[in-house]
Amino acid sequence: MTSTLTAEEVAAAFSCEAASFLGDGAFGETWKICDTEVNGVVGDYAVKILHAEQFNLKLVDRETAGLRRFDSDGIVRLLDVRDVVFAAGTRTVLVCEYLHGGSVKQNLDGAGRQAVDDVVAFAVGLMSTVDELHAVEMIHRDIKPANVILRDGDWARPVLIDFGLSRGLSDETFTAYPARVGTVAYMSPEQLRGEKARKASDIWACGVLLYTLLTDKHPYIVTTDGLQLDDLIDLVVGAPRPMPDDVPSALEEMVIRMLSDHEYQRGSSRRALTDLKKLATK
Amino acid sequence: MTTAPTTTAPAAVAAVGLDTVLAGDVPTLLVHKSYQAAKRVPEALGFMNAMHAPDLGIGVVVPLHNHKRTAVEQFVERCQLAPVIIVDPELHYASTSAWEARADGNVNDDWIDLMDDPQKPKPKWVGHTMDLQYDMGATVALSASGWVDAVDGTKSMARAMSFVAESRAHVGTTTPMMVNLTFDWRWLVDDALRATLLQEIVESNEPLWYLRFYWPEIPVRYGQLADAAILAGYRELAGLCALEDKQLFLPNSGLTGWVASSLGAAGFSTGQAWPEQAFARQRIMGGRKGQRPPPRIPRYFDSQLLHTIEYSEFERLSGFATHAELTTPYSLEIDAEGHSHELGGLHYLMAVAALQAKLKGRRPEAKSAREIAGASGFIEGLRRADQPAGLNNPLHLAAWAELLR
Repeated sequence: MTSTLTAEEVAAAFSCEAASFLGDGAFGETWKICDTEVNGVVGDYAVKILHAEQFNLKLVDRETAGLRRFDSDGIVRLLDVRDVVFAAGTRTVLVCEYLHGGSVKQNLDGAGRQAVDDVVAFAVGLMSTVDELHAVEMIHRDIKPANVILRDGDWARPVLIDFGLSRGLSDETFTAYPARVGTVAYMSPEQLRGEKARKASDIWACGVLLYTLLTDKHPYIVTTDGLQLDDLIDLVVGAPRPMPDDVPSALEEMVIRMLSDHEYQRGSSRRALTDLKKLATK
Repeated sequence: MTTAPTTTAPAAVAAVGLDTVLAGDVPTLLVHKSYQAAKRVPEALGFMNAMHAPDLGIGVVVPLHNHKRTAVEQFVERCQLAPVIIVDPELHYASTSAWEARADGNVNDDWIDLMDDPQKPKPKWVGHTMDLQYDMGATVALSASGWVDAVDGTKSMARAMSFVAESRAHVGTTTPMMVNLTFDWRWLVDDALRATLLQEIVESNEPLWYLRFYWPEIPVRYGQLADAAILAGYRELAGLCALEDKQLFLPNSGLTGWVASSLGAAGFSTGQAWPEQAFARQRIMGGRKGQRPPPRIPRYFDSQLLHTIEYSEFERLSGFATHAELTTPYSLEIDAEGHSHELGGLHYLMAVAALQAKLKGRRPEAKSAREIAGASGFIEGLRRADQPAGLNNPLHLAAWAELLR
């Protein structure tokens, strides 16, 4: 993770006491700003400062429109979009709620496997949010540990962030296919082949994420060192590595199903939720 | 049967509601109106309802291509007992359709404007197609989409779904609407085509699917589909719909629709005559000019065999002590007044309704398997010389049993 700005620059631009770097992505870098007033409320906020060189008004509109249509605990709340002056020039900034608790990536770091009950609770929250997106024909396209925050550190309250790659299924596409959109370790086979992502691609990414929580391993990839993208296409075909014996078979079957080669066999978010609710009541 | 049959008019019994049918909470039979001899269908609906509610949802489908507007209106008016009324625009007859038999059927002049479909969804044409169905009395509309060609299937499917999306935009998000698509049977058998179809069902937020498959020629008229690969395709389709909580209705599928209902479909349509029982390629019958067509065979649906056979063969088989005969109001009429094609067709509908109602509840696949085993067991219990042969031999039973194994 690298930033193009310093904490002092960011704090000065937002007239706040302190700023700390949270992470970066394809379209911008995200900072936490402290004790700042947004919409009349003083508090901590997350600001996504869009890269000037990759600025695309249509993509910004898509991301903000995507975020603004939801008011859900499972989706990060967008509070404001503003232009902010930095030394290097004016940048467009998305101001969002700051979520205490850290990302799944941060929580996983060195923590090993997660408890099955926590994974089930997390999965219910995640799949509910994905179902909410899919119900309005939106896909996220970049679901991965770094893009899911645990609200107040609670595994049962995951929050999806970074809608920079999300799109409505009926939206005009800005991508010229074949093209790979997303993060390779979480890309479905069809995305790795450069095909257009559909809802099934989000389901695949959720499958990889859940598998990782249950096993502390990626289902297919031991290391990406020395691998070309085409190598990955061969790696992600077929059954993933077996799960530990203490993972309930119904949960294992659901996660394995979400990693099916055939997109339709992965099932919908609604079906996963139905399965998870049965699991949660057992 | 749960109620003693009678030839008198059925008492008024509340029908299973439209919402229950569309939620897939009850197995449903849609009676597909035939061009002829449909006068007594409303009466048959009353009998079905009296005998099988609340275990059976009922509905009617009125196909447009061979009916005049007044005939549709009058029939619908007489079928108000049915919660599901579908006015099928049969867009596989439309001008852009690549359906191989499109030109073989004359479309009634009343629907010429429907058949003039655009290459891309135009709100005016889609809106007219949707509104017309409601104007004719439909309680649930079919999307303004038709034939999905197997050539370049992904593109064909995307085009069809763009018409579905426009139809949804016209009726709004809360009005029930069935995704209406017609396919060649290859879509059930070919791995890539089937995956395209199943993926569309999983991806779509539409809950109701009205899917018709154009079968290869069925060797025996009034026979059942026995192709193992096609039946396996139906099994996967119905099973997936059940898992995804999508309600699948299979028009013109005869007892294949009944088997599919036991595997997860919500319902199916069939009718008194062969074209309504099987949307299938037809054998072109040659004949010299002036030669009279052969006389129609008196046929009868034998619930013991799960097969439509010659009436004379039914009379012979019903003489065996092991033969269980289903009595319906129309079988009683046949006993009293002799066989007619109309009564034979009405008896078939009643028998199919009884079969479909039996699927209500848990493990419907076990219930259909039991019926099929009963049919096979009856035949196996007969001496070889007594077993039905030729067109009376239910060759589909083995294929069904294998499918349900």
